[in-house]
Amino acid sequence: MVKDESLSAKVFTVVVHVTMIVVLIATLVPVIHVISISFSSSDAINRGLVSLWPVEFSLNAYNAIFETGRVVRAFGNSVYYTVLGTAINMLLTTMMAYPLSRTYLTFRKFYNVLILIPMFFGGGLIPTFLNIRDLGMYDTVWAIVLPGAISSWNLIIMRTFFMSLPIELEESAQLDGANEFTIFRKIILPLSMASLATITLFYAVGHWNSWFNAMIYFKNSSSYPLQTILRSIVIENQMSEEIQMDEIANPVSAEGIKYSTLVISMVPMMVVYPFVQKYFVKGVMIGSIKG
Amino acid sequence: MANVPATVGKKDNVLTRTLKSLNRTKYLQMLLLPGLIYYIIFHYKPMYGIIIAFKDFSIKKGIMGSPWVGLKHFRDFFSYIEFQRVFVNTIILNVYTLIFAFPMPIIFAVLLNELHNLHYKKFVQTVSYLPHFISTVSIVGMLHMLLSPNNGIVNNIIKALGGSPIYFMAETSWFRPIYVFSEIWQNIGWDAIIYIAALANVDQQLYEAAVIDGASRVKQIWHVSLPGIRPTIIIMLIMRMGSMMSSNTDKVLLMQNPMTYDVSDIIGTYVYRLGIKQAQYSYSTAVGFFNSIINVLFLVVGNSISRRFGESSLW
Amino acid sequence: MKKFLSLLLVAGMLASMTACSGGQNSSQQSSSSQQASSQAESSSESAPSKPAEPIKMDALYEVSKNRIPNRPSLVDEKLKEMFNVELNWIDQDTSVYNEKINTLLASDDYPEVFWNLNHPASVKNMGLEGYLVALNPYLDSMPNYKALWSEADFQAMLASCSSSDGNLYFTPTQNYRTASMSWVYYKSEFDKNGWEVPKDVQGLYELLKTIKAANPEAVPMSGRGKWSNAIGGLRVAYGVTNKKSYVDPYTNEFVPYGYVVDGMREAIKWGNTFYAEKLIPADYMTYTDNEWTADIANGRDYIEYQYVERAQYAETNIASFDPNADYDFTSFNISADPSKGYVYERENSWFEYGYSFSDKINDVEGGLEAILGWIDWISTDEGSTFFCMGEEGKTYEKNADGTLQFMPDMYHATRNPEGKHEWEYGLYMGITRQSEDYTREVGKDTNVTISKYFNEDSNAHYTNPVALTFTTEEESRLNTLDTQIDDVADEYINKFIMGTLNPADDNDWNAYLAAMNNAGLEEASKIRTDAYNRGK
Repeated sequence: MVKDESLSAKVFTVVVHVTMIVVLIATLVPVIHVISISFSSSDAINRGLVSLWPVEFSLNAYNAIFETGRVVRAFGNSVYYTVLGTAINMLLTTMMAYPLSRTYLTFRKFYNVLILIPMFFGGGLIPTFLNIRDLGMYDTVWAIVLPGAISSWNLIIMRTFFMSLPIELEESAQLDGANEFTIFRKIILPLSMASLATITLFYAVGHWNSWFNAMIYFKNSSSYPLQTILRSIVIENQMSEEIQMDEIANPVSAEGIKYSTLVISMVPMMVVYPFVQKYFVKGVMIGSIKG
Repeated sequence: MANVPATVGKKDNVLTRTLKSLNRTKYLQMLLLPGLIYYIIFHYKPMYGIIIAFKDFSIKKGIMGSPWVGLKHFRDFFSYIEFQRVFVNTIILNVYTLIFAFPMPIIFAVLLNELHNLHYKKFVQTVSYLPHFISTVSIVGMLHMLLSPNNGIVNNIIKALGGSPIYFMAETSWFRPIYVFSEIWQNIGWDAIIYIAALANVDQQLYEAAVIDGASRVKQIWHVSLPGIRPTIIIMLIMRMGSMMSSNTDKVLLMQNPMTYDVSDIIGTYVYRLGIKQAQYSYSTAVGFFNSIINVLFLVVGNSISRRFGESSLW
Repeated sequence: MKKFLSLLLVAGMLASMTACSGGQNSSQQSSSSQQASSQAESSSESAPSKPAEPIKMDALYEVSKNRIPNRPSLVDEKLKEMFNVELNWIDQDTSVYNEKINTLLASDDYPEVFWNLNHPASVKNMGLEGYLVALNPYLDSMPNYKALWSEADFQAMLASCSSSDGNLYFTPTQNYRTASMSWVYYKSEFDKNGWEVPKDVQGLYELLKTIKAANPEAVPMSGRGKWSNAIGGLRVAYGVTNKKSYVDPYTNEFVPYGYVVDGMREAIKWGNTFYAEKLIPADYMTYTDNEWTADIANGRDYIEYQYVERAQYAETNIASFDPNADYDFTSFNISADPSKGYVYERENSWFEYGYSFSDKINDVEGGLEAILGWIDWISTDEGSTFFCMGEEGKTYEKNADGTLQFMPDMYHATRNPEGKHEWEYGLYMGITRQSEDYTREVGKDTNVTISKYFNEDSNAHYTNPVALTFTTEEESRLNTLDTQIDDVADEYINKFIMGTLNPADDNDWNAYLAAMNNAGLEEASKIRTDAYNRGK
């Protein structure tokens, strides 16, 4: 018996490690490829010589992107929109997810359907645009941050997380005389760190990657966030049907530009993520309930 | 139930009971009020725009001033000679994705959870989600490169093994597998995050109890980890059912070519090609509306099945 | 009473103040307008007189690659000086046009002037919706602009550029060339090996085989992806000048769909042969610009039917692989039967983009006349020189032989790649006529060269592109049918070329024709033929 067990345990360990290595290679290779191309010379890229290491190391793609000065400003814009937006997101979403997670909430079914419908039906671009404009938000940061204040998807996930917290916690707090506000603040939130971290990450990444709303609602490109500018840069550098004048003399590879913009997008995520990761550690619930 | 008092007056009618219940949950109602206002102002107020699907919309005339055409756009859509093809392709592609791509992040999250070395675990997790940030265009570009019949790595291996190169992107039989593979590749790490967070919430003491009972690691996964994240899995599954008609149109557009239209042409790509020459605002709204109806149907079915089995549900 | 009188007094004072200042302005302006009009008269016909008050309007400026001029630019100064127009520029990136234009119109927040929109279908539609001013009544008051085309061409232009309600909603731009494509080839390699570009398709086949035998790495005939690029040159060799509607250069008959004619079948048969013998890329169908450039950069692309400007592009990209590489273009097109001459794809004498004016300009006194006057002026010699080259001594200088050349600090591909661009001064964007000096300076004179070759060659056959005007219903119906027809054509033609089906086999070809008819080819052909007969 004991021998079989350790054999199956060993096999299991092998399976785990093999899977991890496969996933590592499969996901690391494209990332390395992207980084390699972004640091290669236009000539090497054009000739298709780059695979997993930069060929003829060159910063010309990055130079081309940064020289316009648009990118640095857009980066600052993105940070602002992401921080402000995510704060609003988390505030509103948690405030709504907690009540919805309590099965005794009056009108619960109604609310649940209410938040589901917008996931499937919407007015479309023009009515939404006119709505924003009528609210006086056109060309303001609120047009970026408020329309997406709650994502039904994230709300439902957070609601599910809250529902998995044992009801005894709440009951014992009520015995001590706490109302729902207090329970929410002092008990539910601290114990939901993993889920809160997850949803914060989702919202933040959503803001970071968004490019469309800013383009529609801002008049001036100086208010554009990073992705909108990067997208413009990639499109600008695509080969046109007929040659533009300076495509002949200074060909900066369109591929190089495309991949450099990707690296610029990825780096902040890689920097921020470790801070979020620490909330995914097991054992958050140790000792919270007795027996 | 924590808050419902034991005594409810027998003579209370519906209105009184509701009011009493509201009063008891008043703090909760207050908490969700801002969110409610948000939904009404930003989602429900502009929702009248749906009627564009039933009108011949002209921007100058506005939504109200545009003429009513009833179900004309829907009839046009259904009478497209390849309607059946694009409809079926859309659903099949999503079903394949559901069957093959949906379980992957779960398996990955569960196995990742079994790693003991914290640094290794963090490293693998961080690397695994990076492809999510690589744009679809670049992912498809890399696919082209890998699968190129001239000097793609895959064909080089085939040639080395004595076979003849296959032009993968032009073969109908390869389209769906390649698509599903690219979805897994791009999203496994990112989609796993939810499950990793859910696993962190599973009570450690349950694992300890299982170990005491002599369960192997596989048994622990089966009896503790998976049941622990079951609500999350079920909810995610139901929500995926609600995306049966939605597709990653951008990716399919980049991956498809005329040789594979029989399997690769989906509703989204057809509407896109139609709209290139002449923007068809009302028509695409109508098609989107049709897709949403089908999505809702799938969602309702999925939710009902889940409820019947006593599992979590969306409402 | 007192209050009323004092109000009257104040009002009177204000009125007299404005009248006086207006008078002062107008006296200043009339002297400068006299100067302007006398200058204008010496080089063109009547110039519009300058209005007293500055005309202020919003103008949408479509920007690509973030090329925003330094303002006020030379154009701003000229507009003020000649027409007393002050434009408030709204820059919009061309990459966001599709997303932004609808919201712009829906929110009623659009400008009076659309300076340079390059989206003909969208502009025609905006006109139909009622957002734009129909320009037909004004064309006769723009003699210099009209003079850019012959009467016949002008009528053809109206037919092609009008929306389906018969109105012209934008001012098309003159096309400085009649042709832009021929066979671009790796001349230095050809010379080294004693190869010549053949005049017939059979010869091309032999040449490609020879090249492949000499260099197994060679492609040798690459392209930018899709079957239309892979066999584009072959299609033209058989006189099929358009996949859809065209007039046969030899028989002068109208062909509604080039997809299904015998000439296309022959071209496809050659494509099938070339593909089977690996003379075109195995994955031509999914070829990206990247892969095409890689073929050039690695010396694998020997000959292709391409824009003649790309010869220069090839030389630049191959520089590190072969520093002595020389690419050139042919002065003729390869033909199926050279004894009957060859066919080239002739362009319209206009480009389908230009200025548009929204209905809001009707509220601006003299606004429309002013900009139309501008458009008329930039069509003159003096005006087009200004708008393309700038100002003498500032942006360009005169050579001994009378030609104009950009100043040393201005951009030039070889003299000064780091120089200042003409768009920084607000120039070129919005021209109606491209001056010869400019064409030469920016390296587009290869297009002029090839146009000249074809124009002067009696062997060169062509027909002008057809102008078909459809009613709104026809246009909508045709859009639906064409999407289906394009899909079927793409599917079958690729299968023919790649060998899944055999184009030489009548059964397979008839299956193709049947599928096309099933997709609505007959109905669509009738719509097109009717439109052609209407327009004749």
